[in-house]
Amino acid sequence: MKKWMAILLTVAMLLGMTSFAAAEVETIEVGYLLAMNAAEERDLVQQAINDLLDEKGMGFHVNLVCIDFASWGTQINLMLADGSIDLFNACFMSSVPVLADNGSIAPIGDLLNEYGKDILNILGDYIACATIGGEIYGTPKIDAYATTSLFFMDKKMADDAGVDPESITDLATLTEAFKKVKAVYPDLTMVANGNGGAWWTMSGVDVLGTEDPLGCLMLNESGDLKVVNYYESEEFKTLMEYGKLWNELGFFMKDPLNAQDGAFSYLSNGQAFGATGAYCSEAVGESVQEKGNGRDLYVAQISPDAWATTNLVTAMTWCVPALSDHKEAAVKFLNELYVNPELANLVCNGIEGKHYVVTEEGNIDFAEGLDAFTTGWPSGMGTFWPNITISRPWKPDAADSYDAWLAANETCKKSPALGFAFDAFNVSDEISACSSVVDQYVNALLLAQGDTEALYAEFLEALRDAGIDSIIEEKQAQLDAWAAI
Amino acid sequence: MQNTMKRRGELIRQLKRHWPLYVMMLPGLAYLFINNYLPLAGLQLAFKKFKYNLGIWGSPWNKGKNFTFLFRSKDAGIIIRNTLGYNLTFLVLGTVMALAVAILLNEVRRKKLQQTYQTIILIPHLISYVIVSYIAYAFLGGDNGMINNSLLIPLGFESIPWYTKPGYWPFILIIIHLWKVFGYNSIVYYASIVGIDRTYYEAAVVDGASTWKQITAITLPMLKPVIITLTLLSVGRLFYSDFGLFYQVPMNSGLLYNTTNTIDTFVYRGLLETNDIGRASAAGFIQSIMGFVLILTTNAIVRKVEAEHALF
Repeated sequence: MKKWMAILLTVAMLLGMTSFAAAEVETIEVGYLLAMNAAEERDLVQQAINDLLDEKGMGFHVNLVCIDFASWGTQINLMLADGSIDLFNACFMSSVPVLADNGSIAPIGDLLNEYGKDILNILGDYIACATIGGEIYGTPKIDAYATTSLFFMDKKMADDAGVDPESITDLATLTEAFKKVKAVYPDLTMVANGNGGAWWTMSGVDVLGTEDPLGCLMLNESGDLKVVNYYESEEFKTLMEYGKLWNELGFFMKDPLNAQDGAFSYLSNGQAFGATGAYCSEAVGESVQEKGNGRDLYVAQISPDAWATTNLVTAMTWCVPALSDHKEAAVKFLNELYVNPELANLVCNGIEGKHYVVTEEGNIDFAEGLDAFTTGWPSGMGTFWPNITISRPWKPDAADSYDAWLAANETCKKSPALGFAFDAFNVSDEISACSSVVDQYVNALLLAQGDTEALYAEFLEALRDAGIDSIIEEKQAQLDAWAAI
Repeated sequence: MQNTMKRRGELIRQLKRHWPLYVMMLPGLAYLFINNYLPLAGLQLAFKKFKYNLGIWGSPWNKGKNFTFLFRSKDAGIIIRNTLGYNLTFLVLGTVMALAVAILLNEVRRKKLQQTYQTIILIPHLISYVIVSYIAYAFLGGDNGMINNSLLIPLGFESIPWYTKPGYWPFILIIIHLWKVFGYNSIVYYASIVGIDRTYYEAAVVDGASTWKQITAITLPMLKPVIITLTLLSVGRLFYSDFGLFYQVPMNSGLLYNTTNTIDTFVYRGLLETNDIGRASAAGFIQSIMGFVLILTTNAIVRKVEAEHALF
């Protein structure tokens, strides 16, 4: 009997201790994407974050949950189903309206009004992009939202062929440049394409909430809210014409549809002259891609203006799961991430002196003996976090280089539908069917593989069969209703 | 009444006597229950609009709306045709090939050689489809592909852009599939052949039967139950397709969809964007119901023809 009593008491005591420990500090789980290296020193960074939170008397700790890039979407979805995560960046997975519709993320408007006023101040009107049915479902990260299509080319090859990047302003002048380079490097691919064959990075189009432009606005000065079929537009036909011409001139890769890598990997290993990408400006694009590819590049803007759309603003939106038990703390922490430079530097760059050092110019460089592969905290993932612009930029970017991002958001052109969030529920069958059709045809058409004319007619018909007209109609109706408010 | 009492007594006696065996069965039963029976409750998701915050039981019903996307476009006919067509071909050709190889293997008399062959034919089964897709690409690629550059062009033919011509793919996929699975299936048949009583063959030899006669008169009839069982099991999976084969090997090339798109790849591509659990479950639901019906029908036919070989 005594023995039983002793065991019972021990168990009770242990239980008491654990519940006491749990009550001591509330801990929120924050999802973190691993891309470039393994972040072996996560514990150090996490400790530094928690020390910082203690210092400020925030009353909670964070636990960083590292998830590999390849399994990000799947893992987050699982965690959303059982509420084992409290704050995450909804990127590389379903869009914010889809997550809101399936009840996996919580409306956080009231919490933001109470604990996240700074976020609302910083984001200003852009918060409307994450507002669905009158409720705020997340906060877009700070970024230069507007993008334009750029062409990135190898500096040395361009110089060898006497190509002046300034002379390239559109696809026609780009074609001329390709011809010059081809004369010097006859076997070289001029424009690399990514996985599945996509070589064009679209801009100047508001896709209105779907991944593919299934019913979209062609952005121009008129501010017109007419939803059209992108694949019947002059822009798409022009692209197909250039695709045909470039295919004849041998500018594409061999077997382009079989490409298994991103377009820029062909650029970085010297297998191609260039690739297209979309950034807010030539300078920003150049800085990002030079760092990512370890090559000197020229950048030319090949479409007229940079435009901001809802899709671009919400591409990386921080959300709080509906099943989280720590929504308040999560929003408090989110607010800190937006405004606390010390915290922003920790998550974006690591620990000063340990992972990076501040240079005389005010930017930062790897701490002695470290590089992008040996550092214990990823150096290139700052843009994943809510506000990289209050952290210090890496060499060779100037200390104030993020000011250009913020300025771009003030001055960029804004889609007339900016802030409109599309509810796809009524046409979800049609969207599935159409995106399958787009997968099947678009890359082949733009690369001019096969009998393009017959294929194009077949494609448009398949799109109609799959119900693109219902999608356009639905988008138009919702957009008109939104504009009327 | 007395009978059941007696049977119950028998059962208790059995339990008392063999209880260690029954205990050993428990983990297996638990596994079966957790893995194969509990998830049946999840089938309701096929008829619900799944909401993360409401959970499986709390999510609202949505009147079969999950099923419509499968039949929305004209793709429906193509994907069902492809899934069934390929699987039936695989079933027939796969069985014939595996049987032939198993019988040949049995005729190899030298133990060392036999083991070597067994190992060699098993290797394809162990290679993942991602790697298989690159092996196929090494053959079919336009730039460095062996068939184009070492065979067609030297012989004076034009090179063929394999990855843009859907017409060739039924053959390519069937060849790759057979190459990958024949080894494993032959081993299964070979194991049964080894189990056949040698005295039948000895008697046949005494009676002057040729090797061919031995195969048709002894080996094949003795294998019939195994063939029937294995076929019945694959019939249940006729509506499922090997995702690796149909997605990885054609390298997701859009122009080939007409001959490479199956139910599984269609669902994957269609729902990649929305990650819609309800509609994915609906597709799985149809596949398993169809598989269930097919097994029942085939088994009923087998029972009609030859009752002793039916599964149940």
